[in-house]
Amino acid sequence: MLESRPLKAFTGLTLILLSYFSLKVGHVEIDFFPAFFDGLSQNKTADTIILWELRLPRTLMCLIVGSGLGLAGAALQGYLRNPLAEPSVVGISSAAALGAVCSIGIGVSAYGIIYTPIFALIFSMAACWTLIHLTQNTDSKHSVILIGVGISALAGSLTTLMLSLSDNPFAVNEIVFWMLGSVTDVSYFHVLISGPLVLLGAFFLFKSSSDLNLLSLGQETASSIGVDLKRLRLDILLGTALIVGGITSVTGIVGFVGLITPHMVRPFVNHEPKRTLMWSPAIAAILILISDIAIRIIPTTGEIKLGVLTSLLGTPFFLYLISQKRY
Amino acid sequence: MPGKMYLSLNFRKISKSILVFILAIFFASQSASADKKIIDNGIVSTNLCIDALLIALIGTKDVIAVSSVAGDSRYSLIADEVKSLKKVKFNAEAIYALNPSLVLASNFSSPKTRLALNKLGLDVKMVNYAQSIKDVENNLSYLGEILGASKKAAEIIKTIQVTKHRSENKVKLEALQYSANKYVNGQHSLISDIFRRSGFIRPSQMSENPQAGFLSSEFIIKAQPQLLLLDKNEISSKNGKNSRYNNAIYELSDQTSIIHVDQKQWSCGSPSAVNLITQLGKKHSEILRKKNAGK
Repeated sequence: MLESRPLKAFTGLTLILLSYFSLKVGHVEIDFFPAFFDGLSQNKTADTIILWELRLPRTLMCLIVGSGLGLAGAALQGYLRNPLAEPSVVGISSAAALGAVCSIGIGVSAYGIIYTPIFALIFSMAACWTLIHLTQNTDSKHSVILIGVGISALAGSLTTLMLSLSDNPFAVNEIVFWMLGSVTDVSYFHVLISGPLVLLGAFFLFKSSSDLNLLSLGQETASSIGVDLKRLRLDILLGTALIVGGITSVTGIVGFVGLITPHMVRPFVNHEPKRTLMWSPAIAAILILISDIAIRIIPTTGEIKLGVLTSLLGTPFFLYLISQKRY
Repeated sequence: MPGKMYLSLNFRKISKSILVFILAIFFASQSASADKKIIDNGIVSTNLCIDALLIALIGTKDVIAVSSVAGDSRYSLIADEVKSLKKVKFNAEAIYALNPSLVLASNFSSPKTRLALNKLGLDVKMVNYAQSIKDVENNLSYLGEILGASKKAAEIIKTIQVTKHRSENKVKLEALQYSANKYVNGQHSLISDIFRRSGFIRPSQMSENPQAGFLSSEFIIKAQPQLLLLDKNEISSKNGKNSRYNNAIYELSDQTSIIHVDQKQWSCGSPSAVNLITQLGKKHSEILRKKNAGK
């Protein structure tokens, strides 16, 4: 159904409109069009700085976060054939968070903004390597989930350990806020860290999309048709790790998007994994853009964190979906 | 009945006499001990801000331990002075093991731990978190009294009062402090009081929101304060910029004068917070000079 031309156009138009609102709406009011054209002519005013240096990278980051997490969620649910699978299930988000927490806890983050993403990335890659290494001798998809849950639990405990052992209340404060997930004040630098990793991850996942369709016939059938299951697992895990590591390293943990988006898409694409994979990024990007715009519209003294809002909005919706489906 | 009434009146008289007697003893003991040291075993201070006041008043001689952050030079101005002292967290067991005669705790410290310390028979005195220079003076007076250092406290307060008056007739300029973790202090905070005393006011765009909170850089850029005070960070500073801030903040430098000050200079209600008034007062004059020259 989503393949119908009007729906495609509607989705595209929604994305464009939301991106426009994401640039226009903010904590402060700006004269959008003058700021836009002033920025093009290198005329620096407060409005142009806000539009070009703060809101544009933020909107780009929303698109990256949404599309990346939606894609990773769809790929994992397709591969594991488990409707509860999402990027955090395989432990990569938790590992990335642990890396970031370490960088803040030991004080390395004070050396510059590059160090927290680098630490998060290294830890997510380590988690990915562990996951691939520990699952290479098994064909069971359940093993992937169980090992992922184990990695997630270990990373979570180490994060808590870092928090409880931290001598420094200022670092604890920073760690807690970082973990809540946010795209506030991201710069082009952050976009440049996340963007290429998400693109590379997306390459691995899209490459596997046809195999995911065949896998829905069952492992044995897929294997007999010629699907290389080990290769498929490697592609899915590597793709997911690159995407989740690249995103979490910059924004912190943004939950639930990877979980709920495929559920939203699936009924419109006849539950076909390949098409779920194609559409989830766009729908997830819409969800993230809506959440991020809502954060800026909701009047609060501080700012609600993106990760908090996606969980708050996502949980009731997810419960509704589950109650309808009776899994 | 009359007998009963007589007894009741007598009982009231006796009760009043006892109460007056107790109060007399209490006040007599208070005045006698006003300038007498009550420290026998030593003092444990459990908060960085209190540590700073304590060291300023009596040095390290009678101090057994200070808070764990006090030894960290990234956050503490007294890291060198307290190097030889024990460091303690606000943990009843750890504090009790030091057998102090006095424990100083912040009003923000855990009530659970304070109760535990009281139950263990320790004398816990609370010091309020300073939200203004006046609070710093009050804390100094209070600590001076309980530590038997009233004279020293009075000296420090006098120095503070000499410095703090300066802004009274100045033209008000807009200033804001913005932490690297995107935190802005509220109207009723020590840094806001320091700004006020240096001749600065909160930007008009922010006046609707006097509360503290985490704010996006958008607010700061739109507010365009004449002075923006950012966190100094020796490690991540390059080309006069702290790389922990979004670079967009520095794009405003034509309209806004940006200075970097280490948070430890002012985050605590210690006497050194007053030095910032002098520094900001000079900056105020400089901005005003530039502004007048530009007219």
